[in-house]
Amino acid sequence: MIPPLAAQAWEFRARVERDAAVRFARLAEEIAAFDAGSPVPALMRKAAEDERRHELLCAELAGTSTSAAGETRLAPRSFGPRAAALYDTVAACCIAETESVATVTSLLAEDVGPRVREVLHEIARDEVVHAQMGWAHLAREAAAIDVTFLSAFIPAMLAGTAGDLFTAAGPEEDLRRFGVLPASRRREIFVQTLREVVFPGLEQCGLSARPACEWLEASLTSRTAAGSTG
Amino acid sequence: MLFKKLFRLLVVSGTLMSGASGCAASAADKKPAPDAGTQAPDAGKADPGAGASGW
Repeated sequence: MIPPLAAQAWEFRARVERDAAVRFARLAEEIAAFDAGSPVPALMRKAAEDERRHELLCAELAGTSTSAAGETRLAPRSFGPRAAALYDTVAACCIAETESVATVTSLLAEDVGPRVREVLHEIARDEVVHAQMGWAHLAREAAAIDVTFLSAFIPAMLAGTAGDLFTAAGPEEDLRRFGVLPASRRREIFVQTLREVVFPGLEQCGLSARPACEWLEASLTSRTAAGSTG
Repeated sequence: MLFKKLFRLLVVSGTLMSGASGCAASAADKKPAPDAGTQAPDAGKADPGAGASGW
């Protein structure tokens, strides 16, 4: 029997996968409309199928059923279609999926249960491609248009992906066997992935990582000032 | 070490998959992104958008 806190984590992951499925299916059509030669739309369509399968796997571990997706557009309403597709792809793939790969990889190094390990392996294999397709789209767009406008929006993307990681204590129970890391370990992975993967990747594609670095340092400082550890 | 590998696996391989010849060329050489609505100095503050939830 999976502990309630672990079940909640897997239920949350099922919702994340469900929303990602809808978002990738939409982005595939949006990107194909202005970049017919891109390999990304086909990858996005396959990713949408992957995410539907992941949703079922996560729901199975949570012991729940699946549910309908909510709003999946992430970009500001003022953005036109091309800028919005870039925003959503960077937020979903270059940040969220890249962070997911780091988390799943870290979980696989733990002593997880056999069924959890099977699920994590299946998800990890797919999430690598989901992150890559985001970096591929950013690279294509950075070669074609000025993408520097996006730098100012990276903090909003990070805040959405982090959720309450820096503002709440989070559970520290040892649920690793059930595929859930302590909150302090999740924060460590999140921060290190930003510093060593996401920020250098953004810089490589011509974006400034400075607003994102400032957001991260402010988040860590406010956490320290509140007297939190980990 | 894990993170250096992730950078190569995700960012470097993803960029190679793109088919783009290079992404860090001068912004002055590229078309602007006219539909981003971000010319104001407070870009990213009034309507910053959202992020995708992660694991």
